Amino acid sequence: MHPTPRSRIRLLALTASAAALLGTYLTVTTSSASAADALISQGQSTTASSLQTPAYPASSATDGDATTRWSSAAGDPQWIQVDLGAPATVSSVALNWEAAYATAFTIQVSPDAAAWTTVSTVTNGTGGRQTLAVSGTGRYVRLNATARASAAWGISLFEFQVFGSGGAPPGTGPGWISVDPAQQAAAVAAFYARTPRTPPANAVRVPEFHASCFVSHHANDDPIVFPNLPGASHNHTFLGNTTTNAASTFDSLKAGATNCTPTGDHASYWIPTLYHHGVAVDPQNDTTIYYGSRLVDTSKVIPFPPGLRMIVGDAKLQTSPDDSHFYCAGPIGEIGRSADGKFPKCAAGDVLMRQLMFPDCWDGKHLDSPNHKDHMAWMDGTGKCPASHPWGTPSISMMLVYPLNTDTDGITLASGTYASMHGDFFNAWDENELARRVRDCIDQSVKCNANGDF
Amino acid sequence: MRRLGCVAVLAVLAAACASPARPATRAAVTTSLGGTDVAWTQLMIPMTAQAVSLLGLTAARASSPGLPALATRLRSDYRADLARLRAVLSRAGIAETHEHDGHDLPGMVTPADLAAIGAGTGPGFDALAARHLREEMEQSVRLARSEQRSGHSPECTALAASIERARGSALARLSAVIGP
Repeated sequence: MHPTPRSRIRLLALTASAAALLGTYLTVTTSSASAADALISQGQSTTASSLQTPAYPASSATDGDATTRWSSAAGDPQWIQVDLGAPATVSSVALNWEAAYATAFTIQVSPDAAAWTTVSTVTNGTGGRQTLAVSGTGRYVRLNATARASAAWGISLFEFQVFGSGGAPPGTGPGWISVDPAQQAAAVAAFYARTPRTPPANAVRVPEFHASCFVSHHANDDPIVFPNLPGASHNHTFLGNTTTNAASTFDSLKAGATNCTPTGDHASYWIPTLYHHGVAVDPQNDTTIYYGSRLVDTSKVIPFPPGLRMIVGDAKLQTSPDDSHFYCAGPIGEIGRSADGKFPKCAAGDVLMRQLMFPDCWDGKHLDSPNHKDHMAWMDGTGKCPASHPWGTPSISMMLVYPLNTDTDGITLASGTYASMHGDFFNAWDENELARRVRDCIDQSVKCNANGDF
Repeated sequence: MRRLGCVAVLAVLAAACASPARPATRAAVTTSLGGTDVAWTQLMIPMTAQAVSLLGLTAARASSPGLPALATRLRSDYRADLARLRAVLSRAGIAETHEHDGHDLPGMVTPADLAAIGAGTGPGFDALAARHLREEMEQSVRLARSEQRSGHSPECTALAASIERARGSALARLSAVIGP
């Protein structure tokens, strides 16, 4: 039906005003997120100034799960920073604060995580959920908090969301090594199709198997951090695979010999060399490497994919408020502290121990990430894997026993101080041997022997 | 709608189990860096930057004839190399990760090293500064050779060749001025 002339005029007027409105909208540079602006921070690499405990990692603020959160230590200032993967245009930031919120903070952007531009300033924050319109470009976005609601706590965010356009999808770019998704899916299906063996009635019900590996050699090599750059690294002590060097690959490790029991463990494990008064001291005897799980439900834990690499600890860290990781094992235990206060002094007959524990969960997609950690995650406060890293994998614990006790002065690591302790793992287990153990021992929560049997 | 253009870099590490690299989708980026290229560049940047600091200190405080002038000359060469290393990363769309800042690795002159050198005077200062410079140069040569052998990016391997030549000649000139 044709509109009457009056309706047509009205229609034209409406159209004109709608067009004017649209024009106004398009020329406004700072506005609330338009339909075109996407969430570009989720799943991206996120770092923070501090953590209250490892149960509240920075990644919990960008995992898309409003029940997990990042929590900082108490103190000012604190920051949380997300790497959008590539330069992006940012139009808004949405914050979902826990009770420990920041009252004064800025939102900043940077092309290089070094030079920052402030795009929003809040001086009277009241927590809860807030959305800030911003206008800026950068690859990195950070929240920089200078005042907190409570002096007793740090700051905590359930979610830190950046909206805009650009960036690069998480898990892409150099340093990310991907699995073949089809191959991985097939391997997982085949793994779950394995019928676990029935454990005896008196089996110890803890999910655990282990490998016992000796120190093999020392070298200034690191095939994870410095691939094909021999001599680039501080000195490492290598355990297990006897062939590990800067050029090692999954294939070369698989083909290489190992001193581990079981012999199916061709993985390479390495740590910074420890020095006592300048002399290298190796972990004694064979080192027990436990494979367990801390998850509240271990029944779906899967084996590491072939070629998975991961690092725990921070070789750059030279001071830490926590100096309790080295401890005394034996009948009497700690009898004092070293001169620098960073190591315990142990009774004669005891030994100095260090447990290095690797993360509980894997993202299911990558064998490695640029910092060799982001593809792994710790379980959350409820004993489950976070949505960003949904696959439970065995939690490795290296139990390092050093033949030191009453004299623990003058201990240094090749990477620096006690705080720089770290561990590296490059998986080259025989796949069937690993799968058998994970299925029978971890998934069924049974403590297995060195053969992976009950 | 979010652009799905990815940084077109292929992480070609020598690991057979890695899946085929993702195809490049962003036309602007032309450099493709492998694992060794990235590791080498990320390591050389802080190592070179620290050496620049030490060369500045040496130029200001050394007393052996010829050493201040050599340090001045080398400092400007090293700064040019630093710019070229940073340009490699930025052209590839890779951020400098600062992952080795403060990391005590062979060839690095850490802040503690610099303080210890700075506390010296006279011939002692010269000897300690020269020792650290020598270590950095020798390590740079070693790393540059590995990069040329295993790097994938022609831009990086060419830069490594240039650094190997430059550091090799710097070592010779340092020996001429202060002895082996």
